[in-house]
Amino acid sequence: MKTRAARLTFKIFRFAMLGGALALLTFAVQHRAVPAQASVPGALEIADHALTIPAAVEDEGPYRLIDPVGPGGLTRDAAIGEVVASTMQGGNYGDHQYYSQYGPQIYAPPASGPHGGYNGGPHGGGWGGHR
Amino acid sequence: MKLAKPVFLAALLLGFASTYAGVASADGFFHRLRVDSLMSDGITLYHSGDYKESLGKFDAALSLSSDNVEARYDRGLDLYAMGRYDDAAMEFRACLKQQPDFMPALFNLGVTELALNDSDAARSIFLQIINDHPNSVRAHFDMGLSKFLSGQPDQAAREFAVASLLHPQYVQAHYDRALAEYRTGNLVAADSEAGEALKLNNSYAKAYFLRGAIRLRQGNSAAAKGQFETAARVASDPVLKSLCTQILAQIGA
Repeated sequence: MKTRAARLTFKIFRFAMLGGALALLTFAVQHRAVPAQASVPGALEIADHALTIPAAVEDEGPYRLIDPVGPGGLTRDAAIGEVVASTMQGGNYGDHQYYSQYGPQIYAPPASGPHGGYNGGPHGGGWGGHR
Repeated sequence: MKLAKPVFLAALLLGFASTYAGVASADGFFHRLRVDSLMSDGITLYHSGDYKESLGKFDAALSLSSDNVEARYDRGLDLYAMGRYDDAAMEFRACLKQQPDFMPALFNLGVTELALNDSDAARSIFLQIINDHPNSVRAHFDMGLSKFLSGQPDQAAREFAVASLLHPQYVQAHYDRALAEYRTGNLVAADSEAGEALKLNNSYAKAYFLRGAIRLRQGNSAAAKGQFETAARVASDPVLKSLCTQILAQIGA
């Protein structure tokens, strides 16, 4: 009888141990250390950031500089007229500054927050430079 | 008969002199023709986007005529197009030293200062042009850019407003004013100006994008979604499309 009781006790003890181990394992799985994930920026944060970078601003596109002067180009008077005119001469107007010229990753807001400065975009350069 | 010898000598001398003058004048003519031909080639190459070859033509023109201010100016345009802003600025300054009233060089120097991120220098140039020519739409517009890029959106908005009043069809002026107003937090004015830009160009992706941001700020996600969807549809810029996709994914979540 004693042996039978001892066996039963041992069985109960074994189940208890197994249960404890399973509980511990479940707890460990649920609370295991996960690598820190970068927080996903929200819609407004992405939009705001995109609107702070230089590509958000428009320039005159191909009419940004006054054209060449000389034989085959503008006369001197016409070039001066382009500077002082109250209307833009010629022109299809619309998107000129493309975000893609600043690289494909501009929508990742910088670590310092969404309102970074203007200078030095992802390519580190200035704002101009395209025709 | 006594007079014949001196008259003959005088005629001979005159003949020599006129021949010499004729040769010199022909030399000048052909020299000018050569410079003009180089300039013309340089300008054609510039317009076709071959800036390096174009630069070579202007260099050759300057080697024949070092005080040719137009060749120097055109050289500056090539340097700018090649991204050599410092060199371009130097050329435009040299033009102005030679001819202080050569306004195209002054204006282009202002644009080059903007490219060099020197907003102060750019502002001072555009202010100089505005003082002399208050109706210069270009000067007001670029003054707006200088102010915007130096973090003064309220003042930028005013300059863009003048530019768009001078030239109401100037889409970029309306859009930039909308962007400047957005940055100051004046969402009503921003929305109105973005609307003006879209009236003039109904496939203006960036204006739809800006309107989407305005709607988000106003807390109207449904309307924002519509604007970003349109922006994504009409955009030809892949990064702008990608931005819209990212934002739409966030709005939908």
